[in-house]
Amino acid sequence: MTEPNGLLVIIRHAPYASNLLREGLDTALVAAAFGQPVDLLFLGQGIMALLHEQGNGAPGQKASRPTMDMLEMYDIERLWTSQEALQALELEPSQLLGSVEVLEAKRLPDFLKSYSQILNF
Amino acid sequence: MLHILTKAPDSDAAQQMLQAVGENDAIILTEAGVQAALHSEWGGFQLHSARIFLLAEDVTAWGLDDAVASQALTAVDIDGFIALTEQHVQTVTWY
Amino acid sequence: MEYGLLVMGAPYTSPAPHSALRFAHTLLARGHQIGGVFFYHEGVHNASALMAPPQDELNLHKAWVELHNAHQVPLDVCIAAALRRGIMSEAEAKRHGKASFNLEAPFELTGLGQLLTLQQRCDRLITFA
Repeated sequence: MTEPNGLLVIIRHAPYASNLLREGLDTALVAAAFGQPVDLLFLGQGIMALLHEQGNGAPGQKASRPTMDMLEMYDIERLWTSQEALQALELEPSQLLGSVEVLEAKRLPDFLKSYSQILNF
Repeated sequence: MLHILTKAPDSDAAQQMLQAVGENDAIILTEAGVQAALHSEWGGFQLHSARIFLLAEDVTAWGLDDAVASQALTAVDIDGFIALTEQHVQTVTWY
Repeated sequence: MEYGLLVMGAPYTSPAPHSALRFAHTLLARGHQIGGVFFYHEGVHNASALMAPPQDELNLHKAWVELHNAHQVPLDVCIAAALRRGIMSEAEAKRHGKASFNLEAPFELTGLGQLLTLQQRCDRLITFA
């Protein structure tokens, strides 16, 4: 196995449900701006942030979709989720933003271990 | 890797954690996580019973000392919790 | 070892601050160092000097200040998370035209970069949430 490297930010909370998604994404963006390699893993409710058809919330509520679109500009190119997490929400990969990569849940332990740092939101 | 679970065993956090736990990982149940002592059928015990620890201070606070003893679960005090974080370079909290 | 602590739970809402303080005191008793405590998400409310819980409850703000005074543990608060929740220093209050402030030393407003530096510098980063 290769040496663990980079930061993995895990997102487990949905847009419009709490501020954890926004504050998790902010952490990923700042890390990337500091030149740290960053990947994102979406689990559970966090997958809701990956739907390509996302609208606006209550008046004045900040949408997370524009932040999702900014990730690539910050060189955060690898967005991951698990097949089982998608199935639990009865979602298909075609409903997600184009760049999302799907891994099998049984690969998650080794996937986590391939990062030197993890922050869980 | 050490996984800290602060939520009840039927929570999303607990389910997500179980998918992320690898063979040589350990789990410590703290705060509401200690309620797992009431659920011998919890998936965590099926998979990794040998490496699951409950934070003794939280077990006592939640009134679950008898449940832990009757199921022969392993409780560690806060010093034991810190010892676990010494042994594992990486710690992930599920909440 | 040097530990960093990340606190994301609010006082009197989540048990996370109490758990983090107990962990911090035991760490120091075992001879470890704490490189810093970073307050993020709802955890920024720990920095409010205006909290006034009843006498029979621990004043969490005071408990953090005492930890700092006894062991010089840095108490860093994410500025973006704090300002949007109304936690601000005198300087920020002036800048935003506010009549009052509730964050004072030893708490310091700082950027998220501080959290990432803490994680990279310390041997361990433990999250309380």
